[in-house]
This record gives sequence, C-alpha cells and structure tokens, in this order.
Amino acid sequence: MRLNPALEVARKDLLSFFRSKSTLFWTLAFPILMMLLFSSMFGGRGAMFTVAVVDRDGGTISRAFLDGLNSTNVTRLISSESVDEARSLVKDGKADALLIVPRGFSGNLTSGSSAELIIYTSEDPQVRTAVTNMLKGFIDAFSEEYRKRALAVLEERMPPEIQGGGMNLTRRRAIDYLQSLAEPVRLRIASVAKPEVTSDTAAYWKEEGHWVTVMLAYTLIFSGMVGAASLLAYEKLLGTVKRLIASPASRWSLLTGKLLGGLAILTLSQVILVLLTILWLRPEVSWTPLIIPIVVAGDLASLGLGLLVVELSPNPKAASEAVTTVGIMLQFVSGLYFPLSFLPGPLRSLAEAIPFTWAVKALDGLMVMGEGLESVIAPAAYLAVAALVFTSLAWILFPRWARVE
Amino acid sequence: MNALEVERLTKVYGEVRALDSVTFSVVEGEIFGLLGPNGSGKTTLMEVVAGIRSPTSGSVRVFGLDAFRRREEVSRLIGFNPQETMLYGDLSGWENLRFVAALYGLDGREFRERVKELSEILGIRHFLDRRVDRLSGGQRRRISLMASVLHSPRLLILDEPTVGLDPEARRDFWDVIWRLRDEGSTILLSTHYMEEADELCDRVAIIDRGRVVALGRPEELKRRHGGTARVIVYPKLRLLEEVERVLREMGLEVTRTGDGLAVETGNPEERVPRLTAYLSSRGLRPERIEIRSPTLEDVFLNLTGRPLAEVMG
Ligand SMILES: Nc1ncnc2c1ncn2[C@@H]1O[C@H](COP(=O)(O)OP(=O)(O)OP(=O)(O)O)[C@@H](O)[C@H]1O
Ligand SMILES: [Mg+2]
Repeated sequence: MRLNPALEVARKDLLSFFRSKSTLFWTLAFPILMMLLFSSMFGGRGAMFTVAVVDRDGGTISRAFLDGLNSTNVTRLISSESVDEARSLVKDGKADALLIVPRGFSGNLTSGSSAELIIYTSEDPQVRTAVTNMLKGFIDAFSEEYRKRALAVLEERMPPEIQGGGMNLTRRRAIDYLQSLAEPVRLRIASVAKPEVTSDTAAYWKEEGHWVTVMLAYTLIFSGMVGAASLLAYEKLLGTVKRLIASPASRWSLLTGKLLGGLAILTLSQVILVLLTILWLRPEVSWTPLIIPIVVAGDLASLGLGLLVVELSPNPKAASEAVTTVGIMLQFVSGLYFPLSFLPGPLRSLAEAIPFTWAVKALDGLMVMGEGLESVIAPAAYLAVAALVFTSLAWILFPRWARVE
Repeated sequence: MNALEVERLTKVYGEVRALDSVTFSVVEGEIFGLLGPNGSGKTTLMEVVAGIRSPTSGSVRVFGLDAFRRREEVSRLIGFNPQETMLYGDLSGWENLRFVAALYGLDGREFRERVKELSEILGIRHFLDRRVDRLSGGQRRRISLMASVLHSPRLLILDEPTVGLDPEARRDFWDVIWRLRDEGSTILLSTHYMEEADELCDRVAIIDRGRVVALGRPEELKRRHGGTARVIVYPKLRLLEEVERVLREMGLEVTRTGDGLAVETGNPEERVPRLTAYLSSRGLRPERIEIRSPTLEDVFLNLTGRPLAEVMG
C-alpha cells in the first residue's frame, strides 16, 4: 500500500476546493450567513425585546416583579432614572417599550388594593402588539401566583367558621368564593403529548453555544456528503476516472485519497466556522477535546455516505441531486435547527436512528450542557461504525461504478 | 516480441456487438492504426486493452502479459490517451501532470526532468502554468498526451489523437507521434481520417461494425483492395457529351463523376499524355485532368460497400 498516490489525490482535491467559488460559498459563507441571520433573529443574548424600566416604587414586590420579567429571556430590561431618559431610549430605537412602575405599587398589593403599571411602546404596530402581549402574559402569570399566595395567607388566618347576618360559611367555602371573585372563569391548560421542555429544547434558540454545534454539524452532515460526492462525481464528469483506473494506483489509494482530501477540507472549514462563531457570538461553551472523536467520525461517515450515493446513482447529475436532497433532509431531522420533539412520531423515531442525530446531540451535550466522557462513547462508536460501513460499501462498489460497462 | 496481441476479443452491450471476435497483433516499434467510421468499435477496443472496460470474451496480451490477470504490471506498460482530453480544468497543466505522475509513482526530480524533456518534444513549455480550462483545444490535447507518456510507456494507445485539429496542427501532432515512436514507444492509434492512417501508420486495421475487415500496410491494402487508379478528365461543360463520345471511341470505359469523366487505368502516367494529345488534336483540350490513385477510402468502400465519408456523416 503506497501512500503517495492517496496523498496526491487529497492534495489535488484540496486545490480544486479552493478554486471553486460555489463550493467555498456553500461550505463557508452560507453557514456564516445563516448564523448571522438566525442569531440576530432569535439570539442577542436570548432577548427578543428591550424594555426601559423606571421603577418609582422600588419596593420588594416591584423588584421581584422586575426580576421575574428579566429572567424570562424574552425581555431585556434597562433601568432608567427618569421617564425622559427612558422615553429617549425608545425614540432612538434602543428600547422597544418603556415600563413605569408607579410609586405605591408594592404598597397597594400588600394592602389589598390593585396595582397599576404604565407602558409606552414604540409606534410600530407589530412591536406594540408583541410587547403588550408579552407583558400581559407575564402579568397574568404574576397575578396568578400573587392570587395563590394571597389566598393562602387568607386561608391561614381565617377562622374555620364565619358567622353573621344569618350566614354560616365554612372556611373552605369562603376561600372558594373569594377565588371565584378574583377569577370568575379559569382556563385550565392541558396538552396532548406536550413537548417536554428540557434544557436542550431551550438551548436551540437561546444558547449561542448551540451555534457552535450547528457549524460543526452543518459541515459534517451537508458539506461532507456533498463534498465527497462532487469530488468523486466530477472525476466521471471530466472523464478523468478513466485515467485513474488505467493507472496502477489501487482503488484503496484512490478512495483513501478522496477521504483524506475530504477530511482536510471539512476540518479546515470547521475550524474557520467555529472561530467566526466565537468572534461573533462569544458563546459560553465548555470546550473539550472530547468533541474531536465525534467530529472526525462524523466527518468520515458523511464523506463515506457521499461516495456511496454517487456510486449508487446512474450518472453524475443524478448523484448531485441525490446528495443535495439527502443532505438537506438530514439537516432538518438531525436536530440541527429545531429539537427532535418537534417531529411527528414515526419521523422522530427514524431521526433518532440516524448517526448524525447522535452527533448533534453529543456535541450539544458536551459543549452546551457540559456533559463528559459518558455521553461521547456511544455516539462516537456509532458514527465510527457508520463511517466504516459506508466506506466499505463505497470500496466494494467502486470498480462497478468506475468502469465503463 | 509483439507489443500487443488481441485474440477473438468480443464485447457486447445489450443488443450491440461493439467488438466481434477481433484478432490482430501489433509489432514492437510500429505505429499501428485502427481506421473505421463512428461507432465501429475503436474506442471500445482501446479501452478494453487499457483496462477501462471489461470484455465479454477473448484475450489481450501486452508484451506477453495477460492484460486482465496482471492489471497492475500491464498498466505500467501502457500509456492511454483517451478520446476526450481528460484533465482537471481548475488545475494548471503542471498540476495535472504532477498528479498523473504520482499515480505512476513518479515524483521529485525524476518528474521534473521528464516534463522538461517532454515539453520540448511536445512544444508546451509556455503554457504549462496556465489553468487547463483556459487553454485551446490543441494545447489541452498536448497536455493530455503528455500526461499519458510521463511514465515512458512501452505501448502508447491514442484514441483519435488529432480529431478536431486543423490540418496544420494535425501535421505537427504527427511529428510528435513520430518522435515518441523514435523514443521507443510502440503506438496504437485510432482515426477516422484516411490520410492519417495512410501517412502516419506503418500498418492499419480497417474496422467496421466491430470486425476487422482488412489489415496490412497502407500501400498493400490499397493495392489489394483499392481498385485501379483513375484519370478524371474535366472538359468545358458544353463539350462534356462530345468528349465522352470521343473517349468511348478510343475504346475506354468512361463513367461520369459530376462534371468530370473518369477512366480506369492501371498506368496513369502513360495514359494522361496520350489522352491530352488526342483530345487536343480534336480541338477538345480539357480544362483540367486529375489522377486519382486508390486511397484507403476506396479500400473501405470496396470492402464494405459503403463510403467511409458517408458513414461518417
Ligand atoms: N457504454 C456503452 N453502452 C452501450 N453501448 C455502447 C457503449 N459504448 C459504446 N457503445 C456502442 O458500441 C459501438 C462502438 O462504440 P465505440 O465508441 O467503440 O465506437 P468508435 O469507433 O470509437 O466511434 P467514434 O469514432 O465515434 O469514437 C457503438 O455502436 C456504440 O453505440
Ligand atoms: Mg471512439
């Protein structure tokens, strides 16, 4: 087994890669554009709205209210000293709304009166609706919690029987009565197979760390397959495959060369993409060398799959259509852009069987959730087996594909 | 020793018999031509020999080695230049050559010296550094040919090496092929240009529909199958009928070919002066007289009943 022809195949493919503008676009520019677009839509430290707050009350309850609002991840609060200052923040587009907590907010609530909040939003009707809905939603949740606590306090202090005016109420009935006054109609929200809100679901849109996974996995799923496929298919398109098989170089070295070239291209792209993600989003990610086996095995599995698809296709054009289709589908079912729980049942089980899904999960686990070795072994092994199976099949089918029948 | 022995080689694609029990051998040191129309099986034959297609049956030996059982050794003996130039358009000529050389285990100084030597023979020095997809067809062909001879193959297989080149470029290419032969290569080439087979090749196999219909030196083929030479007389058009009558009076067999009158003769050098003198004496001096020796075209026509050019479309 001479290595030189393999290295030369790899070297030549790398040269071609750097000279093809469209390949460079799809492997490097496209994922970056996607990250810039989506992270500004959903990201920005997780907040969708910025609200300037003037807390004129400054009491315990107002502070608890604002802290709660701040922790929803939907809003980012900027506290302002004066209404004028806050108003100019909204005018300059630095904030979407202005929220005033009037003096006496906490006092009113604790003394049993209702409290009031004042909100000014920008004139943009979309922002207006979105901000008010979001605030109403939060206030509802806050009020419900408040009600529960107030009733609990009341229940505790109330005598077991209340008598007077000919009425005789038990404590239970009195509380129920108060409850019905506070909330005449109650909506009980139950759901059918509600997606479990786990930390990885949340991670998709809120954690910048997931973008590192996206960059690594986009490359290993899409660029790997499409790259390997075009590296092989273009030999047929140019007819150069005839020269390859007329030469004494073995199919071992030809295919090893393709894999090495592909791996070099993918690794390089991954390094570049991750560096750009770090620069742009500054994600909080636990960096660990444990991602390396996942990425390398994943790269090889996807390269092997690309080679295999080409060899199974009747011609280079069909091959390129096939890898593009499969590559795009895999991106969507592997949990790259949304959690698997969003998928309908049967598709979800299918997705869970795909090795690339395991790669996405493992990468998120390692980098976003700080998991360790225990979450690497199985996915890495599965990916390595997939790589081995795909490349072996590609090796077996190579002569049949390369020869003119 | 024979450079190539092809025996009862048959290749069937579904319904098509692309090669039908082809047998011939190529002697070391010769330029051997395969002449045949489109679809006659030239490419199929050469690609089977080069190991790119597998045959349905038959055997191929290259310098005595079985071409199918001893693929690796045989692949080092053969240099194959395909019909289409097979190069990577996004790489330069030099990068293409470097790559092909590596496939044959040739690198470093050995490679550079070989390129230097060959670029002189092929006249390609000045465009080796340019991207191949920015070169002309003729320049690409030269680089492609060079890629096939880098490893100094003993048997060089060239599939229609000059198709699409203008006559001058084609002649330049012949010079290259002769020089490669002088360097020690045996050459098997295919063509559908009959002058190419005639002037360039030592021996020619004429193939039609997958069968070898004739094989030998061009002169031999023309002598055996080309028929006799013809003298064609072109009189003024208004005198055409009268001249035809006079020629028949001389006891000659005359056939019309367009504006001319053809007379078959075994000895044109003697016939022409006599004809001119006689016609002049009757005041019928021809405008133009042509001598047509038999060509490989005639050989093909006589053997298959179809003209080579017509089959070519
Ligand atoms: N891969 C293939 N599958 C089916 N039929 C084929 C294939 N390749 C060639 N043929 C058929 O085999 C016959 C011989 O083709 P081949 O290419 O060998 O001819 P050729 O002499 O090289 O023609 P040309 O001068 O046009 O290059 C033709 O009828 C062709 O259609
Ligand atoms: Mg051909």
